[in-house]
Amino acid sequence: MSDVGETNSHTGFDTIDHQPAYIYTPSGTNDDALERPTKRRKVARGRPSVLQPHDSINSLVFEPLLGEIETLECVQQRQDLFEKCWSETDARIQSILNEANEDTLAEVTAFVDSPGDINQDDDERVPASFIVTGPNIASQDLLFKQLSARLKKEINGPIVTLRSGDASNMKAVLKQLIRDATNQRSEDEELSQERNGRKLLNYDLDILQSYVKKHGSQRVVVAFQDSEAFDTNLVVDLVILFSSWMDRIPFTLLFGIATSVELFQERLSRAASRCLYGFRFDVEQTSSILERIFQSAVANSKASLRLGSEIVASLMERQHDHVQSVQSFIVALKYAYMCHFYGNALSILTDPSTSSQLLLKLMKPCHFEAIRMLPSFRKLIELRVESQELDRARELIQDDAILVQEIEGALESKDGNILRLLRAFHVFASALSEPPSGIDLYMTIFEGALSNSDYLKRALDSIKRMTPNDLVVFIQRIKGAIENGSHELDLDGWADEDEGLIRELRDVEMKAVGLSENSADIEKSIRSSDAIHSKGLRTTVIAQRVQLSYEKSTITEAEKEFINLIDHVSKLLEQYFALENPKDLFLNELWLCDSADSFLDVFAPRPRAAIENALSAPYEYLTCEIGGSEEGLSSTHPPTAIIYQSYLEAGSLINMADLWTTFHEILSSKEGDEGDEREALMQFYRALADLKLVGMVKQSKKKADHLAKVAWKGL
Amino acid sequence: MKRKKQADETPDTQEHQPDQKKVPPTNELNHGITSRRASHKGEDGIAGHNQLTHSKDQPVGEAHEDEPAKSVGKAASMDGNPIVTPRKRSRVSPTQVLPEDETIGTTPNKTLSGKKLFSTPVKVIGTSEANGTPRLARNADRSARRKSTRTLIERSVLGNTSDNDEEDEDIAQHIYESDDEGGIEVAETGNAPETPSKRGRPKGAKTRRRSPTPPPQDLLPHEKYFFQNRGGRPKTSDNNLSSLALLDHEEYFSLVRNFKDPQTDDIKALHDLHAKSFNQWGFELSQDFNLCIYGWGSKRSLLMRFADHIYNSQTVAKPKIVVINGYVHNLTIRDVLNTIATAISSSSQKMGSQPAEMLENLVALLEEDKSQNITVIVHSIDRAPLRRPTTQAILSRLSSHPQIRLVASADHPSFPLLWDSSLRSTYNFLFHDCTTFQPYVAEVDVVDEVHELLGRSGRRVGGKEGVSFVLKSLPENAKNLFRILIGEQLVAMDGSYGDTLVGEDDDDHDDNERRFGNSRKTEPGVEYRTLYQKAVEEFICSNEMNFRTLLKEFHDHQMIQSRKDAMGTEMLSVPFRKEELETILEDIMS
Repeated sequence: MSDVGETNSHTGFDTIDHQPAYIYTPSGTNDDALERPTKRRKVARGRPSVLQPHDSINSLVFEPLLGEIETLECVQQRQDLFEKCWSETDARIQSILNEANEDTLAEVTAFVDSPGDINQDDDERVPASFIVTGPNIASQDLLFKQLSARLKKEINGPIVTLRSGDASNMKAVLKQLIRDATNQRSEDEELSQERNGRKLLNYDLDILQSYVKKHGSQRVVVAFQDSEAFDTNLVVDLVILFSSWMDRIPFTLLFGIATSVELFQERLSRAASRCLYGFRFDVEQTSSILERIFQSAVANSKASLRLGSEIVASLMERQHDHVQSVQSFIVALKYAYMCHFYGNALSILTDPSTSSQLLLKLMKPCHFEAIRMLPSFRKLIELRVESQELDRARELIQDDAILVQEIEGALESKDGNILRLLRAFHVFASALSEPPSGIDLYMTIFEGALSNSDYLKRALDSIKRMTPNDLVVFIQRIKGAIENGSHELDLDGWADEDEGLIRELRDVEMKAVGLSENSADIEKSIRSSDAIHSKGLRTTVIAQRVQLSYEKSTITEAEKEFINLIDHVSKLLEQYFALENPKDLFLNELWLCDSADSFLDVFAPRPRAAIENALSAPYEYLTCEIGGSEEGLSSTHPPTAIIYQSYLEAGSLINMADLWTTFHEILSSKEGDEGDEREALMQFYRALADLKLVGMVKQSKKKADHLAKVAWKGL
Repeated sequence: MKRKKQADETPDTQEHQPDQKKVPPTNELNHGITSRRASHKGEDGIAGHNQLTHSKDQPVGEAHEDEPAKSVGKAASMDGNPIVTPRKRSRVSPTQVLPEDETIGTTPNKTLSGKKLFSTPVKVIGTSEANGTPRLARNADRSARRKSTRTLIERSVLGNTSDNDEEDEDIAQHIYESDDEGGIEVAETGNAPETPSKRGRPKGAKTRRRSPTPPPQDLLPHEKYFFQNRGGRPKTSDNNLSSLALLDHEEYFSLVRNFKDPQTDDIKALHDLHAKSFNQWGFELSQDFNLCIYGWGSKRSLLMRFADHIYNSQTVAKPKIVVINGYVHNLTIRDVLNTIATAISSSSQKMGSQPAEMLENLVALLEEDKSQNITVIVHSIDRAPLRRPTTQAILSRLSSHPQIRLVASADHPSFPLLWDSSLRSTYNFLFHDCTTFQPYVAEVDVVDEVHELLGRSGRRVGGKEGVSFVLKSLPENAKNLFRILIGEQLVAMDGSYGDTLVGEDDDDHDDNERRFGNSRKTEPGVEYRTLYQKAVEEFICSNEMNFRTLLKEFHDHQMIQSRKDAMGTEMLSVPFRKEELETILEDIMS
C-alpha cells in the first residue's frame, strides 16, 4: 500500500533528500497506489447518472461534494459558474484599477515625452518625476508595470525598472541597467562591445550610449520602483553619474516615493538634488480606489456573490490595520468566490441568469436534503409554525415537490430583495450631503441594522434642521438617485417601480417649494423644525445677575405646515429604509458569503499559535491512548510535546541534565516499556533538536549544559 | 533596630556555641533575616568604598556586582564613621572603633573555627542565618583575593554540591567584602540603616522566603514571562550531563531505525486528513495563488505526496515538478533557478550569473511556451539558505509568474516576518495549517544540533578519536601546531580558571549584570598572533602563509574554531572540553 512505500522512502536515507534542488518524477511503481484522488473519482464515475466525456473530467478541478454523491454535471456547473462570475467581477475590478492609474500614467508619459521647458544641451540636470504612491508599497509593482508598458508604447527608448532588492552596489545596478536597456529590443546581441580597439566592461555606460545612438532613442527611462529602500549613497551616486552623462544619454528618472518628496529630498545630498529637476505626481490613494472597487465588485447589482457584513468587517479591519493594499483586498474577494463555489454544493443556484427551471432539473434529492439543513430553511419553518401554517411546514420538510415550489419562489424574489437593499444603499448614500463611507453603510445594511442605526438617526435629525430650501434640495437628490440609478453600482433608474414614493416626494417638494416662495414673498423666513421646537433661551444681565427666561416662539401657519411636511418625510424615509435582514431571507446562503474565521486564517496565518497548540495539546491531533485527553505530562504524548511541557514550566534557564532525567522518568513510567535508556535518549535528542528548530531554545553560556529559554507561550 | 541587632549579635560573637540557645528558636529566622539585611547594607557600603581603593584586587566577576552600591559606600563613608581600613587586625584597636565594636574584639580568636566553617558551606548556612556577619568578620584579616580563591577552591573541591547557591554567593560576597573592614561593619550598618542598596542585596533572604511557596499557577502569558524572568538568577541545579554517554550519529541512526513510534497510526491518519485537501490545493494553485503550509511537524512527505497528486491528476501532459530542499545548507538561489531552467528545456541554456539576470532569462524561457506550467515545491522556505531578503525577493518574483506554481512549507513559528507587505502580495500565498507531527528526519541533523546546544560541537569531527585520526594523516608540523594550540588553550583555561569560576558565578546573575561581565573568559581561546609567534618560535612554520595553510587543514576538519572577541582580535580554540583536550594532548605527545 501507499504508506508502506512511503515509510520506506522516508526512513531510508535518500540522497535525494539532501540534494538542494531536483526535478521530481514519481517512481513508476507506486504511481497508482499513491493516487487517492483518482480512486475517488472512479467512485464518482461509477455512478450511473454520470456519463461524461473523458477530457472534461480532466479539466474538472472541483470535487464532488455532499459526501461525493454530487453528480458531475453539478460539479461542472459550479466550476463554470465560478469561472463566469469571477471573470466578470475581475474585469470590472481591472477596469477600475486601470482607470485609477490612468491619470498618473498620462501625466508621467507626457512629462517623459517633453520634460518641461529647459532642455538645452548644456543643461546637465536630469529630468525626474517623483511619483508619490503612498505607503502602499504592494501596489507599486502594478503601477510601475503599467507605467513601463505605457511608456514602451509611447516613448522611443529603453525603459528600465530598478528594484532595491537587485541593487546592491553601483556596479550591479549599472550592469543591470545596461543589460535591461540593451536587451529590450531583441536580437541586438551584436552591440559594439568593443570600441576603439578596447573591450568595454559590461557596466560601462558607453555601451548604452552607442545603443542609444544606434537606435536614435529619445529617452532612456530609469525607474526606481521603491526609491526609499535603496541605499541613499547609491541613489546619490547614480544621480550624479547620470547627470554627467546627460550630454550623451538622455536619461529620465522615475522615483516611486512612499513618503513625501520633501523627505526624499532630505535624504539626497545637495550635490545630487542639484542634478535633478522634475515634477511630483500623485497617485490615487488606496482608500479611494478601495471604495470604488468595493462598489463595483461587491455592492454592484450585477455581482453574483455578496459578502456578508462579518466578512467585510474583518477584511476592512485587516486592510486598515495591517496590509493597506488593494491587491490583497482583490485577492481576498477572489478567495471568497472560490470558497463559495468550491465548497458549497448549493452554489449552482447562485447564478442569476440561468432560469430556475433548468437548475431545478439538475437538483437531486441530496440537494434538497442539503437545503433542509440550511439555517435559513429552519427560519422559514419557524416562521410558518409561528403563523400556524403547520401543514405547510410539514410539507416543506417532507415533500420535495413543495420544497421546489418554495425554492423557485425564493429564487425569483431573490433578485428583487437584493435590488431593494442596493437601492436603499444608493438612495441613502446619495441623499446626504456627507454620506458615511460606502463600505460602512454596506455593512450596516447587510446586517439588517439600518433602521436602528446611527446613520439613519443622524439623517433624520438632519432633516429636522433643514429649512424648506434645504428640504427641496434633499428631496431632489433622492429623486435623482431613484430616477437615474447609479453607474458604479450598475443600477438603472427605477422611478416607475417606486411610483408611490416618487409621487409622495414630488408632493412634498411642491409644498416645500411653495412654502419657501411664500416665505420669500412675505420676507419672513421659515425656520427649521428643530429651531421651532427648541425653546429660545433669553439671557438678560440685570444688576450683575443673569436672568434666564424662555422665549415662547410663535409658530406661523407656514411653519406649522412645514413641520408637518418634515414629519411626513421622516416617516416616508423610515419606512423606506426599514429593510429586511438579508440573513433572514430564505436561501440567503446561495448569494451571501459570510464566514469570516476560516477565511482570515488563510491570509493571515498564526503559525506560532498553531505550533504552540500542537505541542501543548497534542491530544487534539492524535489519540494519545490512555489519559491522553488530560493536560499535562503523559508518556503517551509525542516526545517533543513532553519536553515542551517541561519547557513551559521551567524558568528562563533550563538544566539539560534535569530535563533529561525528567524526560526519561516520564518515558519509563510507561507500562510494558523495557525502559531502554538509549532509545529514550534518541527521542530526547530529537525533541531537543525540534525545539531548537522552531527557535525556542538556545545554548546558554551562563552554565554548562544549560539551555536558555527564548519563547514564551501565548506571548 | 540597632539595639536589637546588637542584642542578637553580641552574645553569639562572644560565645560561639551557645548562641542557638539564647536566641529563641521561633525568632531565629526573623532575627537572622533582619540582621542579615542590615549587615548587607553596611557591607555594600564598605564594599563600594573598598572597591574604590582596591579595585585591582577584586575578581572582575565580583566587582560589577557591587558597582551600583558605590554611591552607597561613599555615603556611608561620609557619615562620619571612622573608616579605618585596616589590613591587619592589629591596626584596629577596639577602642578606636565605635563602641559597638566590642564584638570585633573577640573575633580574631576564632579565625581557626572560621576556616572550618568555610570548608562546609552547609554549616555556614545554619549559623550565618542567625549571625551571619560577625562570624565572617573574623576573617577580616585575609585579603580579598586569598579568600575568594579559597572559596573557589573549596567549591571546586566540594564539587559545588550545595543546592543553595545563594549561600555560596553570600559567603563569597562576605569574604571579599569583609576583606578589610569586616570589623566595623556593624557600626556601619548602625549608622546607615535605611540606605537601600540598589542591587537588592537581601536577595538571599528574599529567595529563602520565596522558596517554600510553590511557583504560582495559572499565570497569564505575560505574567509568566515576567515571573520567569524576574530578578535574581534563575535557580537550576548543578547537575550536568557529563556522566551521560552522548549519542553519535551511528548510534542515533541505528536507534532511529529500530524505533517504532507508537503514534504512527495517528500520524498517518493526520496525514491522510491533510491529503484530503489536495484537490482544493490544486484548485487554489490553478487560480494563480501560491501555497504555504505551516504547523508542527515535518511537512516534507505531505508535500511529496501532493507532488504525486499533481503528477497523477494530469494525465495528458506530465506536469513538471521541481523540488527545492530549503534545509540543505549549500542551497543557493542559483541552484533553484538553474534547476527550474533545466526543467523547462532540457537543453542547457546560458543563464547568466546574477540571480536577477537569471530570473529574467528564466522568465523569457517560460514565455516561449505558454502552456507549460511548472510546480515548484520548496521545503522549508524559511530556513537559513533561503532567508536572505534578496533571495526571497527573487523567489517571490518567480512565484508571481503565472506559469510558476509555488508550494512552500515553513517550519519556524515566526516565518511571516520574512516578508514585508510587498513581498507578501507578490507571493500571493494562501496559508494552510498542516500540523503533521511527523519527525523532522531530513530537515534536521539531530545529533549535531543537540551537541551544539550542549556546547560540544567538537563532536562533529567524530570526537577525540576523529581528531587523532585526522592528526595521524597530517605532517609533523601540523601535529606540532595542534599540540601548541591545545597546550596554549589549556594554559588559558588554567589561567582563567579562578576567574572563569568566578566568572561563571557572575554569569549566573541577571543579564543586566552581564554587560560588565567578562565574556572574554567564558570561552578560553588563543590569540591568533600569539599562536603564530609560538609556531614561529618552534620552527613549525616560517611565514604566515605556511601558518594559514596549516590552520586551514584544521578548519576543514572543523577541529578548530575561530571567532572575534569584543576587541576584534581573532581567537582560535579547539571545541572540546578541558578533559578531552588533555587526553588529546596526551595522544599527540605519546
